[in-house]
Amino acid sequence: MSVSAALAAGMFLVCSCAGKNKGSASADSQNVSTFSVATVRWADWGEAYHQGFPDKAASEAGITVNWKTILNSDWGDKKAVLLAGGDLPDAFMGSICFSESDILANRGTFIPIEKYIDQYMPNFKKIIESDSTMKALATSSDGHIYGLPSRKPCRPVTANQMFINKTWLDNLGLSMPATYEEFEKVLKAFKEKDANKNGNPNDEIPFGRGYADSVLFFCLPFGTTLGADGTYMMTVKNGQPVYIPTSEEYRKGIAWMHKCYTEGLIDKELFTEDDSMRDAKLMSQTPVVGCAPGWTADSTFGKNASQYVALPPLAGPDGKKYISSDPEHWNYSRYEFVITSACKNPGKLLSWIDKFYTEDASIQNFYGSFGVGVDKDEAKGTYTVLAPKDGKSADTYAWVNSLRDFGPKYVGDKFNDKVTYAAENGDALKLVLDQSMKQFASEAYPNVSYTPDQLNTIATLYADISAYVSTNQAKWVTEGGVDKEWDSYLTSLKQMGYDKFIKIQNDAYNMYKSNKK
Amino acid sequence: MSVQKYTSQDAAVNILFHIIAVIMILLIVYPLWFVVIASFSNPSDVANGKIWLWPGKWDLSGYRELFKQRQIWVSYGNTILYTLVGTFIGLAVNIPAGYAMSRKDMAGRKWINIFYIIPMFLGGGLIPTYFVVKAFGLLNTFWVMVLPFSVSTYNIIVVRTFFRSSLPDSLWEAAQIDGCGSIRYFFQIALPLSKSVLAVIGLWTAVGLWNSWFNALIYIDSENLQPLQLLLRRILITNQSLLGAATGTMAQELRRLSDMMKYAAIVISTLPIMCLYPFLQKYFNHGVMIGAIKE
Repeated sequence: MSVSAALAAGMFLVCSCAGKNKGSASADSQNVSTFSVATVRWADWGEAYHQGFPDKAASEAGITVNWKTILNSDWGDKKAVLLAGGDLPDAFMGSICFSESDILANRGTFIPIEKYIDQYMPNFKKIIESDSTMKALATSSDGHIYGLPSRKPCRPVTANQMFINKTWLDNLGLSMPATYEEFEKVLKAFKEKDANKNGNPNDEIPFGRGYADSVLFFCLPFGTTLGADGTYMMTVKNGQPVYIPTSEEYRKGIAWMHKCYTEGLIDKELFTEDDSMRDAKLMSQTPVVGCAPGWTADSTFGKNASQYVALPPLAGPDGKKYISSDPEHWNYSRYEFVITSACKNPGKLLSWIDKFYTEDASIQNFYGSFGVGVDKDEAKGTYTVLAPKDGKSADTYAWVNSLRDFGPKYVGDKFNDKVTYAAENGDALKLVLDQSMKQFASEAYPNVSYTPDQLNTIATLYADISAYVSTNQAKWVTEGGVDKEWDSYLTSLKQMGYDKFIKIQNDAYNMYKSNKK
Repeated sequence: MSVQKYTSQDAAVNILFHIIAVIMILLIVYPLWFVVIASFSNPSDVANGKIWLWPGKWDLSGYRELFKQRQIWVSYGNTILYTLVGTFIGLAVNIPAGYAMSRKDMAGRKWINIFYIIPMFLGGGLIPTYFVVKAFGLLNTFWVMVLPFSVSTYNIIVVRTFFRSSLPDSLWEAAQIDGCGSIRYFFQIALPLSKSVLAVIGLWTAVGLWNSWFNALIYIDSENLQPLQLLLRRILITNQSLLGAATGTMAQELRRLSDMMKYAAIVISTLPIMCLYPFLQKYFNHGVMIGAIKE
């Protein structure tokens, strides 16, 4: 008796839930100034990110926005279900939501929006007419505009960079190395002597894993100018796209790195340790790492940061100095806002988004709204980034209170000069570091758009190619043999489809250049 | 028959077996012990490999950080609720089904059997299941965690075999003679005799529900309905998902937090089940083989 009663109660509840859902659906389709916007966030930081500028701009545009916050760790699984036939929101905010291959593979789900720009987006129209990079980043490989691009404020030209322990240099009476040979000598001194003055000359790790590609950053003096993640290790040399792991610079760099490895200058666990071990070494009570790459000293070494300074670019065998710089991927991005087929009034929604493309909006969406994260001096037209009000680090505070890296933004070239920082801030530190480094930037592989076919081919080819490159890289650094095996390595890559891979990169590069005109 | 004499050879073999047994126990227990002591130690000591047999400096920061998480108490409550309600529903659905299948005089038994067995091996896949759940209006509700996946064919077969082997037909015939109907027989005679299978199925269902996070991930959006395991999973895999956000200190802080909370999270999510286990131990030991052998 009790069982059947329970079952009956269950069915009753199920039916009432079904009824409730149907009811709300019909109300929404009539009210076309209410939009649902989903965004993906790295962690659960609450809803403050949209309660400032974005919601205020929405009420000015005469619309209501229902925000759906999804966490990145859930997003991978949820994305598949949603694209297959779940309830789509009207739009997605943030390039973190979908990659280019997601969007171009599901073109029925995401609508092209170029026809709404003239009528609803005056700010954005001006931007793509004046800034050719933004125009190229808005255009996908089939000529349509599916996602809106962004250019972030207060970003450096330099990407990640090398840091070296200044306290150790002082302890050992060494001067800052200027060439790669001097650097090798400094690392040797770190290894053999007691650089951290704790009585143990053997606990120092001269070069350890940091927060960037250890091998390519170590070999920078040779010209291995790596770009951002997800750029297939491409760079541009003499106007031609080059895949770094097949270049002469890479070969010479690896040979030198192996020499250093045999001398014990490189962490033996470089290729095998996990992230926790790496963090433990970088941030250990007594500093044990002499040199590692990262964004700023704070973000790499934590509380040991005061001991580290930027390692100025070292001169390689040809006397040239190189840094890692990729503004088109680090500072610009594509697909920051995409509209789905579920949206009944894209024009109205885009008129709200157009408000994001002003300098006031961009800085508020990067640090937090006026009064929360940033203040504006209307008379002088300058901005001050405020200190975090809750005692957290500046970077986390910005993430909590704004969309930060994600969402449409645009600032002009001279914008960074208008910004001052009221308190210590990682962004400010990076901009200071950038001043001395940016002159060495060379051309990076641009933020190209691929066609769906190209994306499919690249995905398959690159999986094999990059795995092969990684294994050989680890082998050559630890055991040597790069010069001996180089030719057979190139032949194997060709067998894996390397020619097709590089042809696709060339085609995409040329298409990008023509979109930019 | 006299008892064989206990020779020194016997003693040696005895000791050998004891040693092997102790080594195996240590191999199994040590990882659990490590998790417990790591949760009470300083996280950077743990990452540096300094924690071996005893907790280092007594450090509750992992637990403190964990309980500062916004949704921790809500999700803990949700998991307890899902487990209690879901176990009740699971028992209510699987036990009667198993009993009915065990009765040789049930009509259409063969066809119902096939009807149950086929889906056990051939599922529809994630997307079709999603559509079915959506069609019932169960998306983003409390019931999606306990209702749609409550029937387990495996459990039904265990119950069926139990009833077949432990309830003789003569018992049913005797009850019939005294005027007992089918339903009354089930509730007043069969169920009270089946405590062990109730405990076994109940424990299996409860543990499965306690651990479930995937269904919550796919079918639930509202953060007030999420279970504990989903929250913990999010915290713990933050490490892997932070690529590209490596600029700035935010990424480093999240990683550090995640490392800190890792072991504390494991302890608080398994503690209730481990506390429950000893109470059901006696039924479990006896009952786990219960559906296995047909006498």
